[in-house]
Amino acid sequence: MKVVSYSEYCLGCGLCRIHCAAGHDGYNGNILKAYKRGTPRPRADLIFHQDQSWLNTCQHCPDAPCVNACITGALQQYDRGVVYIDEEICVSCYTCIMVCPYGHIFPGEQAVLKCDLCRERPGQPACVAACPNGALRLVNEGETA
Amino acid sequence: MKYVIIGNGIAAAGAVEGIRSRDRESPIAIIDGEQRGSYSRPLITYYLAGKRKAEQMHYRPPAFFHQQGVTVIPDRAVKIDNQTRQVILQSGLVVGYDRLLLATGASPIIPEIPGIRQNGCVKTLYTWQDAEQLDLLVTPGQRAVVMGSGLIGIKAAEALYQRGMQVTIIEKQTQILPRLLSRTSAELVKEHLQDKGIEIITGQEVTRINGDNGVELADGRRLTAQLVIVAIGTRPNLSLAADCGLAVNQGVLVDSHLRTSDANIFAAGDVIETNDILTGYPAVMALLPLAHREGFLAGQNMAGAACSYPGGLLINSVHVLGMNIIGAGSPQIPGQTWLWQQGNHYLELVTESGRLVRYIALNMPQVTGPLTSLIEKQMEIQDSLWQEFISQPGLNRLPPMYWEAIKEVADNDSYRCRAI
Repeated sequence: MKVVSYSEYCLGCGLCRIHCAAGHDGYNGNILKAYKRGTPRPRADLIFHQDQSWLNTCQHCPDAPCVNACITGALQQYDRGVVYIDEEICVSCYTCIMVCPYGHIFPGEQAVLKCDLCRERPGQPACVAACPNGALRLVNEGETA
Repeated sequence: MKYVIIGNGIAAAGAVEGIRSRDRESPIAIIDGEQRGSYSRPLITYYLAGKRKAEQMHYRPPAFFHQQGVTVIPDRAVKIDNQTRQVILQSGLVVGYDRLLLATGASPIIPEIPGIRQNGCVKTLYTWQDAEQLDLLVTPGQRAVVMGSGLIGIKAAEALYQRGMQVTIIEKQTQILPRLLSRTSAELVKEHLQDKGIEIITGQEVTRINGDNGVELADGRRLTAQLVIVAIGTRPNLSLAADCGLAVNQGVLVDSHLRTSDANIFAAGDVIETNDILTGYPAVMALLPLAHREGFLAGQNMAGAACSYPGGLLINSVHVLGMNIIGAGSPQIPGQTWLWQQGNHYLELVTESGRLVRYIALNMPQVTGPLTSLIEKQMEIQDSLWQEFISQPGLNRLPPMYWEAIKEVADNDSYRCRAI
């Protein structure tokens, strides 16, 4: 399971990353509170490349290189191929960052930051729900984008 | 089918996952010579620094092995009888196998220096037990000498420094982290460590160890030290393999399916000699991500698959006293160097005919994943695009063909079992 980004529909507005950051900051996704009082950090970022843009987010790769390389066992692949990080176990060695071909995983203080498909959030991931132009879609394993 | 794994490190955990992806039923036994369970070796320096507690050292928790139907035998293997397919343990117990994995790892090299074996102040930092023993010897304010500035040496120096010791690193080569860094980047890391108060002496060797008084260097200098850490490198633990007649060189020799010269015995992890995929030369890589992948593929092959393993790429990421150092590729391949520096951020690329063969990134983690991938893919890229990237390194500036290639394989399957 992963979020697929369609660059042909992406407007580059960045609402995805704002909702992503707010959704992981303990204010129930409330953007105003998160950005005023919290320390919002997105788990995915927009790429602007030539005349295109797209959300560069975790592909939850089968046989994920980050899971293979993780020195502590903090990164593991769970049901439906989703790769989660156990922030209690991570030591921020950045080995996962070094092997992710997409450059998805972000440096963090105690633990690295990565997409968890908003597992605490009911319904669609925050980025998908926030996209005003239908450029993001949650795709199940085996389903074609 | 009876599977036996000698060693309980990273490759062993990978092998359990590999076997179980193909065979849910057959018994697996792990012979755990260290008798500490599955723990992450790189974490021992975190343990020594006091940043990691004993219960946070697991690489895979004990429950994992239980759930996977693995019997962990806390004992040391002393002999392999590959005629009768049995492993003889120190306790006298005999364990039979159909498929055996040698994952016996490596051990620190202890150079023949006068006084090195006689003095209780000389230690290595390679096992969890080493870290526990060192923990008792650490005395704030006293001086520690670290021989060697590889990853273990640097992390040992950091841990002892953080525990309040005065630390001196002695490196035989003319620069620190010689396997990972270029001369220019090594100077930056050296300055960073010296600014924090770690003393670094390069181009010097320890020639004698004088009890509690310290060490003597080749140039006649004497340094007082209450503790000496030997971290000049490691060597595969070959005796089990060699004694039963398996082909060995620097490490245990394996074919492209990680099978040794005995058809029933596979090998993975720090004990094997594999290929550096960039140079094509045989190499003992001894890297954690490779150990897991080799174990995972060997495990599948033990269960009847034919996954091929091309070899590995030299990659490393390490933090020292607030600086992140990431490097990949081969120091041996000459090429064109591209440099970028801004404050304490530094990026160095080496390309050969447009192909990336090496990079070094200081405090620049975000671009390293795609760069590693570019080395693996050996994609040919025009100099003008490298120039554009290095002028302001970031994901937005990666060569367009890289993003095109990577979007095509939205499912990155480069690590999947490929039967050849």
